[in-house]
Amino acid sequence: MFVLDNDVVRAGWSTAKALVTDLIAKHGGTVTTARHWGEHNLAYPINRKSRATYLLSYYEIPNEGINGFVRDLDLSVPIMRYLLLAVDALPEGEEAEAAKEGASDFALPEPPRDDVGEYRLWEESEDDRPRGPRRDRTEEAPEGTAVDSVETKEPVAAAAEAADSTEEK
Amino acid sequence: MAGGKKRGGRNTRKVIVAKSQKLVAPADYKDVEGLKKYLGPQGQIHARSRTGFGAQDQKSIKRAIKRARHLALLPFVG
Repeated sequence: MFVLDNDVVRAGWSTAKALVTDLIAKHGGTVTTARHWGEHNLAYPINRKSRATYLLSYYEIPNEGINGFVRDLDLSVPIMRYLLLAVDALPEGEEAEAAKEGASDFALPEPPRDDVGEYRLWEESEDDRPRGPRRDRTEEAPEGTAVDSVETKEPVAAAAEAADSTEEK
Repeated sequence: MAGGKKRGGRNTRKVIVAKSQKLVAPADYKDVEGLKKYLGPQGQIHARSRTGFGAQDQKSIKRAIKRARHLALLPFVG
């Protein structure tokens, strides 16, 4: 099972599917079936995405190809998650389900926007902005805020000023 | 409190799902709706004493839920 980024799926389902099937072929595997398993709300946000498309694939891959395959999956950005399991045999009805994608009238609707669904997992707010070091935040602070209104003095200059005032007395 | 109603103490009443409904443990991580029955309101896996499953079935549920969580089909919390 592979979790694919909806941005890639919007470009075309065959392109998105080829991301996985090409990787399997690259590492010496043969794809038996690969099919769309649905477009769902994620139970928790992944890479700030709250929706994704699932790809269910059954394939055979030689042992020596697995490490490279896993490494490529880890490095692939559009493949958000994956789960590789060893199975004894192809489940019943899987081939028939996969064959539906080969039909001439097969078409997938475009994935909805991220904020469509049962609930919104991720809403951009001030607190969600990526924060840099503290000095960056003070530089970005708008004028008139408490950060700007405080004038800091150099310790040496402040000490000299204090000494002058005592001499005057 | 002789003769009176018992007060306080821990509520030991448990809902045993599997025994009462004669359910079969879903071993497949893709059966999300089936697995949701064995999660608490905050997403915690129910104990064996609550589900009523044997060790093997409980283990298969646990494994399936954890696989589904990894794929963001089920929540870790909440």
